[in-house]
Amino acid sequence: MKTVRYVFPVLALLILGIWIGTSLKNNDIPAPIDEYPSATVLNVPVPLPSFSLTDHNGIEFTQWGLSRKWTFMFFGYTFCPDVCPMALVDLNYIYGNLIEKGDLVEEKFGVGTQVVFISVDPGRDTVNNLKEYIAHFNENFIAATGKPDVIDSLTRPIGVAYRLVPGKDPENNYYIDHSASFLLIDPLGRLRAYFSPPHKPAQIAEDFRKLRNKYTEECCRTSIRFNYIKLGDDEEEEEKNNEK
Amino acid sequence: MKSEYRHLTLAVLSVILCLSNVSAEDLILVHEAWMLEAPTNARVIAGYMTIENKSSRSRRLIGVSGQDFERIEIHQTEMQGDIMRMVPMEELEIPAGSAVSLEPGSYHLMLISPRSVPKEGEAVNLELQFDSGYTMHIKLIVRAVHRGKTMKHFH
Repeated sequence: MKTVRYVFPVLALLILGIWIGTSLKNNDIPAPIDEYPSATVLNVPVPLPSFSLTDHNGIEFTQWGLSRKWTFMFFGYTFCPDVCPMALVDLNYIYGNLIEKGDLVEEKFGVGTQVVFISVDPGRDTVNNLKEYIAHFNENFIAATGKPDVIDSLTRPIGVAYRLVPGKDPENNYYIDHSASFLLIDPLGRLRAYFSPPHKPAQIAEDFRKLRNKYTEECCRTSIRFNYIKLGDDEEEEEKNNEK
Repeated sequence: MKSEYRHLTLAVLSVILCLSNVSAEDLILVHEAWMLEAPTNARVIAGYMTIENKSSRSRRLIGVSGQDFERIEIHQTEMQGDIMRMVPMEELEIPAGSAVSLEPGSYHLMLISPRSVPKEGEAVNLELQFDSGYTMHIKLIVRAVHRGKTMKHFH
């Protein structure tokens, strides 16, 4: 019994000690705060290569379709029962969440938000299939696909992987293993962040809002600032010329 | 005391057995059987449920069929890094006294080539075949995609 009586005070002291120890340690080296719990943000954004796909309306979809918009990009295929429909439900949640909060469009810079689903299965996903499929989840979403080599030229530089795997079904005899991350493309067409599975849509919406608020100004002023710097240099040169 | 408990157990069991998704023979229960309302042109749809094995013997789900689908396979979604892999499974073991959840991003039934894609609120009939030779009839309820709401219930 005596030992039992001492267990709690000793435990309490131990826990207190550990707590003091860790808080002292934390004072020396501040623990990194996970600013975006659902996202991996790239220090240096990766520009997407130029590409030419066809969207669900049969219209060409290129890198210019990404400019002046934040884009959630997801790669999948419609013959995918579990991951892809659930991902589109999540994206629909995120999109709906942005609409509900009234900030789907950043008025200050005229920068919108869009969702693009790219099928890596052009063999089975025709334009008509994609149109009906994507509209089921959200009529504002864009679905696109293209020739395998065009898809590869887009996926490879941004680290999106997919692979055809033979299946049991004799008619549709393959599945596709594929990256299930949501890529976030900035308004300058650069990969800025990605959201890895398993997806927590509410957290993604929150993190996206933070990311957008932080980077939209930077993105959309880059060109202006660039012009300004050039202008500044020219003025300096002009001044030098005048001095001469 | 003992006989009271026995009565209670019997009462509980009889209530449980009155529910549709129960197999009297194997003491297997199926809860929350559902599928996502799919696009009208979907060629595959995933089916989800929780299978509970209340018996003292391990059971294996060895096959699934349904008149509304050409074929049904048991699958597992496996995550390798951020790559999602679909792994077909020959059977799914439900250990004695435990439950296995078929849910998004994990085990699921792959319902192939629906004769017609069911709408929200409709139900489809499936037969689950277990290794004991028992065939269980269940209903899968179709749930819709609601903007901003649907996923919360399933997480």
